[in-house]
Amino acid sequence: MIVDLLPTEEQTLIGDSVAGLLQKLPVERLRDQANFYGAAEAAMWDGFRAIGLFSLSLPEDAGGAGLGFAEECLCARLLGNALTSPDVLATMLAVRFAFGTGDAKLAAALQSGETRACFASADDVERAQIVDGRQASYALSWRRADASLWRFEPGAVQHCLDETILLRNATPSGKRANAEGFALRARIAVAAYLVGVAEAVRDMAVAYAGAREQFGQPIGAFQAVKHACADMAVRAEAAMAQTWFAALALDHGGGEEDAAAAQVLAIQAALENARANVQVHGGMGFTYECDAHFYLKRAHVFAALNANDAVVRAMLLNR
Amino acid sequence: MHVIALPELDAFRAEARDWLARNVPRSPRPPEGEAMREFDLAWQRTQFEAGWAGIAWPKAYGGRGASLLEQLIWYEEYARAGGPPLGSLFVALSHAGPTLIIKGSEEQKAEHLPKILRGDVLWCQGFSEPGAGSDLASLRTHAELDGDHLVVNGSKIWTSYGHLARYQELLARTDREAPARHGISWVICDMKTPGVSVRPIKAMSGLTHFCQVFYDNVRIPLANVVGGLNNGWQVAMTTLGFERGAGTISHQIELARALDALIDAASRPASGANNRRLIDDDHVAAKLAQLKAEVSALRSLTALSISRGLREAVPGAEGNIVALYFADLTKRLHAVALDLFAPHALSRSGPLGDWTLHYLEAFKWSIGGGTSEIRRNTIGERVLGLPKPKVGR
Repeated sequence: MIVDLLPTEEQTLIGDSVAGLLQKLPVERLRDQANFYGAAEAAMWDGFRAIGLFSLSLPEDAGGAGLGFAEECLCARLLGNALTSPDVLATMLAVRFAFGTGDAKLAAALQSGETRACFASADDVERAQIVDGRQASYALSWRRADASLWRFEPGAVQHCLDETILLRNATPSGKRANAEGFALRARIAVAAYLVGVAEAVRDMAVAYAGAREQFGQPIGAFQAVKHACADMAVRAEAAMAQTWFAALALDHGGGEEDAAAAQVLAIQAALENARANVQVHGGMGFTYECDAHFYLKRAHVFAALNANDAVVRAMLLNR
Repeated sequence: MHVIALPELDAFRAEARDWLARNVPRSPRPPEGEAMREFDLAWQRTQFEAGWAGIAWPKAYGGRGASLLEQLIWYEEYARAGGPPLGSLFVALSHAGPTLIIKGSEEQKAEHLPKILRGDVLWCQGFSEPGAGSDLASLRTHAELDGDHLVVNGSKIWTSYGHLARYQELLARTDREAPARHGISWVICDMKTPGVSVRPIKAMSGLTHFCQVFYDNVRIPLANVVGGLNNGWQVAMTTLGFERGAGTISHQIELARALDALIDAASRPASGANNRRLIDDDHVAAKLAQLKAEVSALRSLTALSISRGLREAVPGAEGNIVALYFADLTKRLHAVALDLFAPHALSRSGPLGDWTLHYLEAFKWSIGGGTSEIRRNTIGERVLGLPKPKVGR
């Protein structure tokens, strides 16, 4: 498969319109508890719907924009940049899931914002916890290549490593739909969000390293810091290139291997870059006053979604 | 960000696959020396005669005049067919040729590009010096203007295939007064010119691929200066850009093949009581899976380089990212191989001897053509925009 991995003009325009909307969600909003649990996102849900975020990849006769998964992944990256509530990405995926399984009614309800979806942390209902989803009634989870979308009733609230995320137990209620192969789409979309996290912390670290002075010069001039930033750039670019490749391959008979590679590398890039960003910020990076910790915690949340190392290994090794 | 699906690319792929299946040499490639050179040149000649040399080079100089995409497809099919490594032709095909195409005069292109494509000659690189490694701009090999000639004195080192090559891309100082980067010229040096002497250097792997070259009043026609007198730094950066970008596709594909071979070897029942396979061990599987993900990413990073190459003729500093990734991954992959096969890997004469050789050879990737440390500096300063250090503290 021969690919062009840089955005087309049309894709750049789509990205600009989503980025424009996301300006209303600066990461510093999370310093205010009132914005935890996707509260700010819930309030602007209609704005997401209005720019067509939930129906990008649906055909035009189904009320969509007739675009591809690539465009959805470019948007997912922007959602990651802004640490948008996972519900937005989960709902984007759920629309596609419902459409693909022939549930036009649910697809329309999700598309309109009347019904919302979220991620579950595991496919196994005994272990599954609901991630955010304060206004959601459907949860998306996956196994190796297959995924499920299921109705749930929320249960007890758990403390989440990422305190900006609402984590709850849940009991399935009513129907559960399965889609073969859909997990690959979910894995790649999650990777795209994590690419956004990895890039955001890279940029945050670079900006700080260029501004903060010690020993009479910006700390980013010193190789110890400069090289840490360069490694962040390498990890982000590798994860980005692989995720875009996997996204394009998905619609062209792409296999498990590319999706799993994207997932593995995006998780590593987001986590390692987020950790390095704390270190570059020094004492401030360790405080609650610096936003570095929000990225680290959110990276852990996305890394843990339906995590199963043995399955990912098997996907990579074709076993 | 889209799939490029063009019928002519499919046709090109089918034609390349068919030809390669019938023509890739089946005899083993000699590991070093003149036998290796003759093997590499003969194979290049075969490709040229069938119209497969210089896929993305201009037709006027014997190339195929196709795009970078065909070049990529060619390398993919080449790897699939088990073609030999570019080997000793790497400098000619991936450095000198592309540099001449962009910076050479009409006469220089007409003389040298067809020779490269026809498999007449090898090229080597004369950049580093004993006193100028990472700080390349401090090079001191000097070229004195004397009528219509330059007279060169000095020494170059780490010249791969210097003992086998006919031509060299030589960086020499042509203006001692100018600031370091403004007094250098990029010169075509015929290695048969009187006064050139070559001392092969044995590497830690035991192979002898590179050399030190000495210049004792070597007279080179001024007409051999590429890109204008004292413009050599700019010309050299063009060359290094190719080395760091799409120019290494072939190496990356070879690495993917090495990993497939490693996974195959780990998937065979080990000799022993229970026929257990190495890959059934979770720790082994985890290491191999991680390598697999990274080799996939390397392929994707290459696709990203090609995407940039389709938009800009001269590769930018981003090429350092893929080069750094490649170097680190190559070293780790071969270290994992040695770990897996220990203690059998101690024997270099057994069936696993190649892994040992490749492990030792892999150390060159984070040193040659720019150390990984220098690449990190370049990524920091030229990709991310971080400041250079203040000197004199």
